[in-house]
Amino acid sequence: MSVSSAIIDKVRRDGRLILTELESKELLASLGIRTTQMRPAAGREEAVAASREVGYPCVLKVSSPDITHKSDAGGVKVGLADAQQVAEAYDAIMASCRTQFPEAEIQGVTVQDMARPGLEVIVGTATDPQFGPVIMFGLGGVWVEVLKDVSFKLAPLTKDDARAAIGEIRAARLLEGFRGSEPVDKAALEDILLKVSEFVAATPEVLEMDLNPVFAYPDGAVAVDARVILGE
Amino acid sequence: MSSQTVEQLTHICNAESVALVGASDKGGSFGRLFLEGLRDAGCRKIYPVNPKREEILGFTAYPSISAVPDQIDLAILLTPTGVVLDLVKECVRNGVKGAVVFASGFGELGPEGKELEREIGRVGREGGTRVIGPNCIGLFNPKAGVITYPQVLMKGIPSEPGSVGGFSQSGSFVDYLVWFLAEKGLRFSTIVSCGNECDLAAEDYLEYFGADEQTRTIVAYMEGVKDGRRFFEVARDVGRRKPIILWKGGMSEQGAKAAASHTGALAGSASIWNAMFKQTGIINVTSVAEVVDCAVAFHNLPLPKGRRVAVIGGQGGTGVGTADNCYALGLELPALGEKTVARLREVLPPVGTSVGNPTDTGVASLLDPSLYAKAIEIVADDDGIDMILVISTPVPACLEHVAAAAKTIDKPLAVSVYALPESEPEIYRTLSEQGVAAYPDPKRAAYVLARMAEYSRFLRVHQ
Repeated sequence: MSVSSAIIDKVRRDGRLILTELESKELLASLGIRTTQMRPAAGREEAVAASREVGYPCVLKVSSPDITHKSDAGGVKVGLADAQQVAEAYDAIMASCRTQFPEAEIQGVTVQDMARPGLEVIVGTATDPQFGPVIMFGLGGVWVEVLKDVSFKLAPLTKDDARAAIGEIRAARLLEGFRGSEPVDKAALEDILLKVSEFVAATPEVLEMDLNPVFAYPDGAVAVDARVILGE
Repeated sequence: MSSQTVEQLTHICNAESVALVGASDKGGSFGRLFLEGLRDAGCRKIYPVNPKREEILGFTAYPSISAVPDQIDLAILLTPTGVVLDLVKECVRNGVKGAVVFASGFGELGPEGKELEREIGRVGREGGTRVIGPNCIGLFNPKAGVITYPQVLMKGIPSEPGSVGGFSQSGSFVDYLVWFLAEKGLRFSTIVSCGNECDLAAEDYLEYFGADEQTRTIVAYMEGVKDGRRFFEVARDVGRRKPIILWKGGMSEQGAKAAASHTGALAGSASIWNAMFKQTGIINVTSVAEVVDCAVAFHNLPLPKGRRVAVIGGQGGTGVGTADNCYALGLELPALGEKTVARLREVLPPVGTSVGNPTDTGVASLLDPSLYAKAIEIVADDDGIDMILVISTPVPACLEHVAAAAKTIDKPLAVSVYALPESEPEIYRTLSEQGVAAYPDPKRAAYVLARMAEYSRFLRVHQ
């Protein structure tokens, strides 16, 4: 059994439809997609130990199947420079999340390396009732909600389709480099699109996926956050 | 290699023997209209089926499909809804290749009708009698002499075969489409009315037209799709070989969806259809005028090699406004080559004309209509130009020169004529008969050229 189907099976057995960030990224990593490094930690001491492995600066995010918008719950702390800051961040996250979501099951946090800043894009998938799996590409991060600058392709994508998906967004010129910045590695983005396309075309259990944001660099791209949703 | 569906549809669309169940000689009945239609279209073997008659309009009539002493390729069922299932079963027993179900009152009325329809489709498909419809007006293939369209029968259409194929999920629209396109000088391989698609569906017809050697251009009207994945796969293949001009209804978004992901929320039906058009090369249009305008251009003209257009206008030519239209549609108007400019200056009088892009042949072209032809031929020689848009006065002598020049050049040429079709129908008829893509508005001429440039680019990318 492949890593991805083992993860999906486990989530189904738990009676869940939404993969945690950790599960989503493990799944992506098994497809050969680069993600930020991620260690689960159930308590403060574990978090500090994990941060030493991941390196500084690092990021702490609350780990809970019941909290989907982690930032809004005060469940994300970034730019943590040392063990002391990690320990304080852990306490702050727990306090904020327990206050705002007293009913939530909180497993602890994940400790992640801090991806260097890049152009934020989104790679996503959805399932169309008529055409089946579709792939989306667009400007990511918060821009996806505001600008909705995205393009769609039906899976499975050809290499031409992947290239076209990237070239068709209104902000395509941003990817070419602007105001002295270097062009991003479009081949790396095409590679992510093709891997995601191949995966969802072969995995009807997956209803939707968001890789958002993906940081695109002049050399490569990394999925910084991810969410995988299974069908009923 | 062709699929079983293609083989079956080839047999059905080129039927030699047709049984007409419900044939009649009663004036004004569909039974009579269809029988006369088949007879006049030159259908080779016609077998009227009517248990109450021995002979109808000079044809021997039979009490049932089973009683017909011949292999039947196509059965046209003009009977009421209630007996259709039994008739399809009888078709299966007798090895009939296809059945057109004319009756309505199935799936469109509710779940019971839907269930009956599904059963008819299943029985036919599994038994080898492929079903067109129900709730449809069947098919039209002038070469085979098969015609089942009542309105077309009433109006009369050209009987010579051609190479435009098409299908429509709106029954009556195929009638209008045939009229409109025939009026523009186009002729048909096969045109099918899909109806409720209890068995054969849009994706099957598309696959058939893709494989049909007689069909060069495909036109279609659709509102939904039964098997989207298969439609996508078929269109992906066919779109790389033949232009598919499709008007897809139901493209308005019903507002944002609730979804657990950003992608799910943004993946509206229109964005998915539009994605499919881009991936398959389908030329999507949104009006009758666009269907007809594109069909004429794609069918009659060679594809441009790029998107560089030269605009040539005669007196009052509105070249500048047309240039705006071209830019807005994604076309380029590059400067003409030095040699082209010099050659144009040789033939055009110095006063009242201008050489460039756009070029204005001025009032001089009214006095010497051959200036149109000369200018077109010179510009067509320019390697930096992929296609030509001519804006012509409605003076017949000028149009004759435009039409003649359009034939001698190997680049696409669309002409806009300053004459309203409703007041000057003869002008358009004459141009259409000569295979000239003529429009009453430069913007429409620019539109078809832009769509051709877009399709040409699609083909280059997907070679």
